[in-house]
Amino acid sequence: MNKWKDILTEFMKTEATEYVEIEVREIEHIFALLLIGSFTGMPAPPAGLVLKLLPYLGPELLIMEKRAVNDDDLFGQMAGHFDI
Amino acid sequence: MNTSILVLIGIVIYLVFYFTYGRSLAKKVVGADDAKLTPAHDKYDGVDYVPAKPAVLFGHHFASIAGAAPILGPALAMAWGWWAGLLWIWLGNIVIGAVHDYLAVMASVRYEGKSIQWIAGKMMKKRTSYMFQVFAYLALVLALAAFSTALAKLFVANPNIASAAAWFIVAAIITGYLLFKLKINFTLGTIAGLAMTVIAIWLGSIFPLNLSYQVWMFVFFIYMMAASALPVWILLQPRDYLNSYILVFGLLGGVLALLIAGSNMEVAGFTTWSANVVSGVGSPFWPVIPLVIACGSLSGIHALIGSGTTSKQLDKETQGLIVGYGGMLTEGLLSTIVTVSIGAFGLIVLKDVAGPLSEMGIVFDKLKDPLYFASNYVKAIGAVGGPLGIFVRSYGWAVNHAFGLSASLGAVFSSLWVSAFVLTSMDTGARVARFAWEEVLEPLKESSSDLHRVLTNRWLGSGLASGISIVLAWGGAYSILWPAFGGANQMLAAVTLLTVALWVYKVRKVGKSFLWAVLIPAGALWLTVFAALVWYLSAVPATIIVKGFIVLELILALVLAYDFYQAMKNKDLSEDSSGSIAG
Amino acid sequence: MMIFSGRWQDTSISKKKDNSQDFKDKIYFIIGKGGTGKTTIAASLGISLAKRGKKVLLVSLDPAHNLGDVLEKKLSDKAEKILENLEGIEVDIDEARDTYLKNTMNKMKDYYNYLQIFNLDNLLDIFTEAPGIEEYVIMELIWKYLKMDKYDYFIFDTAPTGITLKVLTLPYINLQWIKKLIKLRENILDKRSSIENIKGPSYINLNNEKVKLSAEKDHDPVLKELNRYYTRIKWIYDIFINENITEAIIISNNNRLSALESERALTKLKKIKMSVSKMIINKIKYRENEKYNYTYNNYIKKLRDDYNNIEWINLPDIKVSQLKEEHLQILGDRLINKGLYNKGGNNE
Repeated sequence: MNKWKDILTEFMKTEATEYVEIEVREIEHIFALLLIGSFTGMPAPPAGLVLKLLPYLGPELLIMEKRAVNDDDLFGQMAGHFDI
Repeated sequence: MNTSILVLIGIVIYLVFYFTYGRSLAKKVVGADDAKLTPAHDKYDGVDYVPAKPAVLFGHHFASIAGAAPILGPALAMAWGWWAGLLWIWLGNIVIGAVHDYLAVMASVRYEGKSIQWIAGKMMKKRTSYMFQVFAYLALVLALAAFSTALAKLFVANPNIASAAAWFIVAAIITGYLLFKLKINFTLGTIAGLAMTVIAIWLGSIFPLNLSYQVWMFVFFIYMMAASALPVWILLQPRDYLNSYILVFGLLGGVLALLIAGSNMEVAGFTTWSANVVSGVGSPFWPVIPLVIACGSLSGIHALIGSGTTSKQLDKETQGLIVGYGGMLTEGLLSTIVTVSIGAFGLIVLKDVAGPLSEMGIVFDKLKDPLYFASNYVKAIGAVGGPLGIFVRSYGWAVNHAFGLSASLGAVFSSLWVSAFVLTSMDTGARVARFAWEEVLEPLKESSSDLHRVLTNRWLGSGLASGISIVLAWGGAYSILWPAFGGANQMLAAVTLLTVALWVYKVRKVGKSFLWAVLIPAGALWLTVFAALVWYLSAVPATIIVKGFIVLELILALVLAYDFYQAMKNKDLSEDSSGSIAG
Repeated sequence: MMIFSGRWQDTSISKKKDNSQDFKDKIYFIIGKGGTGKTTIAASLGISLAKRGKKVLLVSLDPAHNLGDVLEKKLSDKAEKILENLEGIEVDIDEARDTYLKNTMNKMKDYYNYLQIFNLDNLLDIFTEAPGIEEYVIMELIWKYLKMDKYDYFIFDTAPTGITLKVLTLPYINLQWIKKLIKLRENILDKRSSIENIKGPSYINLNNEKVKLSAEKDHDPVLKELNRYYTRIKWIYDIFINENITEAIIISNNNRLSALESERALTKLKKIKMSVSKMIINKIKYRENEKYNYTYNNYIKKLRDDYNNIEWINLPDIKVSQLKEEHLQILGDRLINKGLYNKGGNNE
């Protein structure tokens, strides 16, 4: 019985956060882009700022890298969250 | 024939086929092997690629594919009689629909979690991937249009339901604020949210919301534009969350109610071959049925979900069966509930509005005659709020007969579920449409970048999708729009099935007999949808926009067939140029 | 959407507070085209102030250092005593840049000891060539010196106008960026914490090691660093725009090119709200025995008409090699007595 309760709770928690998770990933991506963007020609904060923050940006850079890798399949990823 | 028996038959059929047909698909066609690492482990990143418990994944996948569509379709298809609908919901599901869903998930798993769209591009031509995009965009826009009109019709005929839906939004916003801004304890927040939902239902009955159809169109347009621009925690997330509870309760409640009620089926099992389903025109059961009953039996959009998110979270390969195949069967169960409840209680519902019906020129007593029913059913349900209306009220009666609860309460409860799903579809649909639009315009980027820049302005993207939907929906013809959506949706399914057929044939290299298990549905589907679209063009008085869409779909369908044929002939496909596993 | 995020979000940026109130010293930026005589004037100012008992730090930011030559003293990137109360520095930008880059790399190594996503050596190369690095390094150096308590006056002999203006506008630009980034970051943290509240902490897989995604404002190193940097930049910015503290002195020659460059400088400095106190037209050729024994170049004349609220000073053309310490002091006294204190600040 406990196992079912756990499963149900976990299911509900997933349902409660699905969209927020997607949204925060997007913002993280933008954040990383803004910082690193100078290397791709976007207007970006001065290199000094980037240097200062770089040591702590592991997760964001990873997310950005994944985006770049999955660039050819973005719609597929996004549409997966469409509810019909 | 009564409801209990029918529901029981449905459950048994699904179970039997799951354990026999489904299992052999897993073993012989897919070769599901727990020793093989799924992308959730292989490409684990804690972000998109995370293994999920199978029950949780099942729940999530099911909640994503289940919406208002498995309700709308069967409700319309009732014009052919409930046996007709159930035939397609049962057989179509186990042989085509669930196979489609399952293979879409598994193919994606074997391709590192890439979407079916991407795989289609690899299996056939690059333009196949683009074609998929176009079908998806059309399906999206048409779905939004069809849902808008259906929901508006529901609201106009049932002002207390409209009001409850509005109060439900308020409840969702407050819940969102509690959970995501104040960050209160999750359990407390959930209880508060559910309590407010109940209050919303109560408030709905006290303060009915009477607006005209046109006003609702306007409201939905604003809603689609605004909701898709808001941060998700404000409305989309909390409402979708609360709605999961309603879905679970609603489905379980419905199954139990019908099993217990044991009421007799009042509507005819088979009415006639060419019932007036689409736009008041005689619609031949074949080839039109897949256009009417999509989700619940077969739906291309499920591939988007299955290969978009589900495949990336699959823990073990063998679990794909319960999630993909099982998920679709469960949705079939949902549609079974819809069909059976309307079959048993639909006439009771319509009896309540015998007065308004006669004003429409429909004599209630004649509805007992199958032929009269076939010709006038779709028109008649307009009096109770269209396909959604007939369902929620029938559901209410089912609950009443089984548990003695008030029928109108049951109706409002199920309407919350339906309207919330429609609103979510509108919200996410508008967001995805914006993105899809950009992808569709991709080719323009090279040739005329200025035009491209103008056209991909984000307000234009969602405005266009919302705008077209509302323009289409303005006339209020869900019986025209819904099948149009079905057409695009099933073309999507056709692309998917053809893609996985190629995968099974070329990459998996299975024996002939199992190849047919995929190839026959794929080919049959393509033929059916093509024929249905041709019929639609010739018989249905749709607007120029819709007809334009259909013509586009027909052209693309021919290209698709050609590309498929070429790909089948092509010898070297198994060595994938991208270097991915694809085994 | 903005309504929701703005009103309910608690941003950690202090808004209007002027952070320069605690800074009791004075700063001069000597700006001008190469060869106009900046270094001489900077030096003379320094000497004069030192002789009056003020503790002065003279800093040359010009890569083509002349300061040591003018003062006839070998200078380095450590403060060297020139006179009583006067110390001088010639910055080594390359060395400073290398140090900052190395520090960043070391920090990254500390923080992620498994960081193989990046090839660290390559990264170093990229940043060496990155646009904006040089300005950033100079700004960091300025900040470092301003923090030194032992001085009352800071005189900066600057690099060629182009880069100097870039350096001086850095705080202004940075502030906008940082505010945006802080807002974004707080948004991210807010959402992560709401997810954490429901699901528990999130992890991300960085090269086979699970890293917890930070969700608390108080524990997020990125936000901390952003706020720290914001405070520092705001401090510098407030000091720069405080006309009681910072004055820019533009040195021009009596010709068209000088005038044009000076005009660019004046425009830029006005934009970033740094006060220009003096325009010095240096190396004017005086004519003997004439009624108006000098004339301004037309461009200079126009500039004077446009900016007539600044103090304009003319200086003759003197051979630098002839200037000894006593000459420089006289020059400096002249500049000071000509109303250096007319805007408040430390009075003698």
